[in-house]
Amino acid sequence: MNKRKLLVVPFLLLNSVVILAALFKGLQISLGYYPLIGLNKISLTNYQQVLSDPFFQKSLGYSCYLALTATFLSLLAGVGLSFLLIRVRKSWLHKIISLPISLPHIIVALMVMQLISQSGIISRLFFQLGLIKEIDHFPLLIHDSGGFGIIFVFLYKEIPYVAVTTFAILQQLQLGYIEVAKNLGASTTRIFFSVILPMLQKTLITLFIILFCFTFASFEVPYLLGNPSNQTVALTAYDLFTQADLTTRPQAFALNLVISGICLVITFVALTISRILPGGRKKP
Amino acid sequence: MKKWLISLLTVGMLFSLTACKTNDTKETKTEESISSFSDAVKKSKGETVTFYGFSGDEKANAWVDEVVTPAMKEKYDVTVKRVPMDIDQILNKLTTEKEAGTKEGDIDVIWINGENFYTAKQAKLLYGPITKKIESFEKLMDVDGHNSKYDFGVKIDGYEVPYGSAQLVFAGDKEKFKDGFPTGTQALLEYAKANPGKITYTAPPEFTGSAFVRNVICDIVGYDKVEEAKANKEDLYKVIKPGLDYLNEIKPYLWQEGKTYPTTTAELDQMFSAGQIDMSYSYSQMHVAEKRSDKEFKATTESFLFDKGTIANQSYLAIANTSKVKAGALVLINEMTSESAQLKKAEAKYGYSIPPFDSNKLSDETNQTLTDLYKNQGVLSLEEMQEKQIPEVQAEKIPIIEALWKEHVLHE
Repeated sequence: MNKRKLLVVPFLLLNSVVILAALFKGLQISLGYYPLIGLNKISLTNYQQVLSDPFFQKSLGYSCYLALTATFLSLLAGVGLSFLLIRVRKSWLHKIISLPISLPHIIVALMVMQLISQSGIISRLFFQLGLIKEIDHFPLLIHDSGGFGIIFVFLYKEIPYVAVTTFAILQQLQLGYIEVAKNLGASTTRIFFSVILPMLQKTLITLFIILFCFTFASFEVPYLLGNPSNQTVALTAYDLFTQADLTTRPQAFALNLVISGICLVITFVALTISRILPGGRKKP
Repeated sequence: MKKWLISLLTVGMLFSLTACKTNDTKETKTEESISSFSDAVKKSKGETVTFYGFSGDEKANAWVDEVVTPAMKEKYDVTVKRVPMDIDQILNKLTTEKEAGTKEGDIDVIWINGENFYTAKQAKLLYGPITKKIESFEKLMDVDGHNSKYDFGVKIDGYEVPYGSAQLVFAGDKEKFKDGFPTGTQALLEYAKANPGKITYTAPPEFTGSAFVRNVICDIVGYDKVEEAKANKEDLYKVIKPGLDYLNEIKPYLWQEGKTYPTTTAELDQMFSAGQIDMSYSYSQMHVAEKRSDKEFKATTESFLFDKGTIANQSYLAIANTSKVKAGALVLINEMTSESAQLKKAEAKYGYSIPPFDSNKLSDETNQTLTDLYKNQGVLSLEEMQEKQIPEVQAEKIPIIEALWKEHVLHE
């Protein structure tokens, strides 16, 4: 075991330097130790201030709404799409679907803004065709309170990601496990719970964790397309961090650690659920 | 069993990595020894100076590369290296370096102002005072003027030299405003009521939107009151409440009934040129001229101001405390604020910028050249702009005003 474990050291080192050092620094500053501007008393006041902010709960709720909606819709549509991919075995289709994965979120956000804002391409096209009298009559899809634009960007990016990932698992299903189960006289519900779910759920839960944490803490998409009165938690942290007054920075770090904490809790809960579900228990 | 070995190795490596950084603390050579500008010129021969600043403006970049850099080489034998970097990144780099105990860095001259100067001063990142060692400051600028003493209300104490000016300027289509532009908050409210949905502003903390909100507040309660108010939430709220009430009164007549706002000025411009809204604004006085020559705005678009004035501020040049070539940096700042270089910067080719000079200290000839440059571009005359200026409120109050706007207007 020695040699093989030692090979992990470079990886561990890189990660410990980058992640742990940054995390430690963040923790230090969030607790009020920031000698650069003369703060060196350790206390929890920054956390208290951030958590007792009247808009914190609202923005937390909004962030959860955006992240959960985007995640569940991506999972649903993505799994559906991967079933389609398995039926239609065309390599060009596969390529087209994996195209959005390579685009950065910020580029997609700008594309969507140019496309569906009231002064965007579609709106102008409708105006030219006489479908709407003024471009103001085009529905408000950017900066709207429901966050349509933001969710749209996430779906465009995440559905193909889910589809491509689950596609690999579904190919294994094709190997005939379902037929075998049928031959042995299993009912459809039985097949679902004993064959399909155990094979898929681990991947789906992992995808859920990745997507939720990403969309929950995403900054650039809500920054560009969001409604100013519905701020996400990540945006609040950014605002606190970029204030001219350096004394608000500790609060930004506190909020960032709160965000990380929430993501950790969600991850833990999701993994626990995965263990309880069929297919999650450790095999002997 | 060998797990402890791996963790020991990891921890050991971590420590050795941090140890590398702590030992290279050499003294800077020219720290206090530059006595005057001529001294700086002598000492700077052969040095290479970096200029760190925002680089999103192609014309301003071209000016540094085509005008300043060759002049520096020719006159003083100093090589200039322009490094594109946003100011918050520059400050992050400087603060991180300072936290790590670094005494020498790559950053020499910085383009800075306002809130960022406040941050830099708070963390003691700048070298100075420098204004006494810059010839063009004494020779061409209004040494006792507000802009030479305060930057966003923060005392300058000689740590930065005025470099260019910016003023909030509105843009409107002459044909839409048949009865003249709304040159005050009351007129703007009337226009909004008569044309619902045609006015909006970018939501603070967006830089220019935040200035617009401050401008409206100053227009209603008066700059002096905002300036005198104490920099805490309760006191400031009492003072600026009439301004916030106004913003609430106009809210239902804004675009989308004020339920949402655009978040960038680029979007505001796009909505304006698409005819969705009737008014746009910018911190660059020559914005309309530039957009008109790019055919983005109609030729009937013109600039206007509030009669009681709009917020104006300077941007400045400063030197990082960790600079290795402070003599060269002083010479570079002097060249960038010299008459010859600034007159070039005022040309269309280099972005129509307005020099930071006191017109009383310039020759009639120079004044005439400047006036001629700005004619017939849909922009206002220099005199009118200088007449209708209000200074920036103190940097420390800006985040408080933004927070109050959020609390009482956005979430009202």
